[in-house]
Amino acid sequence: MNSDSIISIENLTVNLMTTRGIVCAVRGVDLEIRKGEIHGLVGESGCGKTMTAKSILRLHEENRTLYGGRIMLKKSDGAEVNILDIKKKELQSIRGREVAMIFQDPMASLNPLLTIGDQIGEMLKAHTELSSEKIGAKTLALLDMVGIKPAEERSRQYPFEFSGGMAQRIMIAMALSCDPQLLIADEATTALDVTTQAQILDLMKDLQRRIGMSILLITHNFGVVAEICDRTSVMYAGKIVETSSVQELFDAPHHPYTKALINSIPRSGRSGERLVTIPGAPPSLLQPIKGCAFAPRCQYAMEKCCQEPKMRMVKRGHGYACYLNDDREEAEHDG
Amino acid sequence: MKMKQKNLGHFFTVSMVISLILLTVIILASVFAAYVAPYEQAAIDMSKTFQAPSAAHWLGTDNVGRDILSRLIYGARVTLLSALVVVVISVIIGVPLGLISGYYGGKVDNIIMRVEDVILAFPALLLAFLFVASFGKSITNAIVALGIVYVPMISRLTRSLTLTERNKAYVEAAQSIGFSDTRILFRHILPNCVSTIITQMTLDIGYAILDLAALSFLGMGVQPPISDWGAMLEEGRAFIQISPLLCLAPGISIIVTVVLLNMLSDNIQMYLDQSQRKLPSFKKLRKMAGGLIEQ
Repeated sequence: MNSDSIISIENLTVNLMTTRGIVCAVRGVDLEIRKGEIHGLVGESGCGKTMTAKSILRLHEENRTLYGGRIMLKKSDGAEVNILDIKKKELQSIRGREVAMIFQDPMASLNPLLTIGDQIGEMLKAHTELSSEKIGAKTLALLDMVGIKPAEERSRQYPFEFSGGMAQRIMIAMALSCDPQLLIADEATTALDVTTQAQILDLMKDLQRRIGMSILLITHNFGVVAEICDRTSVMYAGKIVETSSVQELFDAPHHPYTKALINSIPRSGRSGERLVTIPGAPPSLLQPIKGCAFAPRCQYAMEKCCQEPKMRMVKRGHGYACYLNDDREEAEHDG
Repeated sequence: MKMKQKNLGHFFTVSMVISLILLTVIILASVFAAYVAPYEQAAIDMSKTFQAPSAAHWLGTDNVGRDILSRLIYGARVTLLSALVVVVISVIIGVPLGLISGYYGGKVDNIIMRVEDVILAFPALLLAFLFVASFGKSITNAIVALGIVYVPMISRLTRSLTLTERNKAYVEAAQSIGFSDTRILFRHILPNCVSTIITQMTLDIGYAILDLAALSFLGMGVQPPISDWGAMLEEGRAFIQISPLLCLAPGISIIVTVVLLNMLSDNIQMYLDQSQRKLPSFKKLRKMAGGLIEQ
């Protein structure tokens, strides 16, 4: 584990038992999140982004999930723990305090029967030893910080009295209440309209700068990635196929899947043209996948692709899992 | 400007008011039986047996000259209180069991549900008989027995409610925050189930009155000289041809109370379920909106 990373996922596998069989939702993910960075996790629906994120908090149903690999977390007191290994009690002390998570549907994520002030206060009560007066004051300060005003009055309101964007602000206030090191935002802006989405992203970036935490941002929207991420990993069929800084990812994508995704972003000023799509659909994760999972949809697929390509580094901090652009291969390809 | 949102939909519908008033009257009469009842419940007067209703005895007298109305009022005390205790016992045991088995699932769920299946497999009364027969005839034993017999009803309901709540996003959010299971169960899931549980409770009180009456009727419940409606039914049965009122009075009391309770529970359910709530008339709505609706 590097000294500047707070979470390092090593060869994580997640197998879920379902009525239709065992789903290999995550098939060996390596991911490192550094201190103070916003890390994007991009991919099509059903490629294991959320599965990976939930594993960081071990939120899958315990008796139906098989984990493999390690998720090392550097706690704020400096100790390193493997989240997949620890006892439930310790896990509960990590959830919310070290790593917090916000979800796609903010309205459903709030308990409909408690005022939002109560809900934030409850979180503080569970994780800190503040007196009830201090909890009240901190709750108001948090609401103020995420731009819910007047905080005092609104803290006494129930979730249904807020709009989706406001509810997501409340979720952020709640997530940040115990100063976590890492915030996982699972499609946190997907359910919101574009204006609100921009506001929430601004808010997250602003808070991240002020507090200095890291964010793992899960999205299928490259616009969002371009806007606020520092580094990005692209996932496909339960694996990470490319990781790099955002700048490089857009300038010089190496994996064909990344290229295809970037190509299929609709652009303005090109009316009349057909939208570019990637033919086919991601493979079912119910069957074992041999070789490169993207090969059936890949226009550059070659014979070699029936063997799993290893992650190779273009340079420090930029890696991709494909045979393409490998110098030797490329010579063969061109010739 | 601070505006208090007006609550749309009536809590006090006609049937709600009727059932609430009548139930209050019954409960108050039973609580203050000593002041309300015209005679002592055990005051025997052998010179006035089997009297028809009169100004002195509104519902007449029984085989040993006791005033039926007074006995009815005193009997309500035992009947209602013990029915309430039965339901409270079943809720105290059943709700946590339902929450646990719904939330954890798997082995725990299996064990709890199979034990409850066994209880459900026997008719409720038969099981209560067994209990009373082995622990002795007394009202306390009858109450405890029925309380246990009622556990599966409440806990199965709680379990199925928990199953739907458990998969909602706010529960996952609560887990991701690091709340303990106990906190999630009792502070987040339970309050979201409580409206349905309350409805079931009011309904169960009605069942409990009937079952307790049946137990007393069979001599397994209250023991003389205390009386409840079931016991009165049983005593009156022998004289049904001489004085039908002996059976009719407690019988009708039971029916009325149970119907009132069902009415109450229907109304509570209707009020708690927004989509079923009765809305005020359009005229009233327009008035409430205060000119916001265009004519």
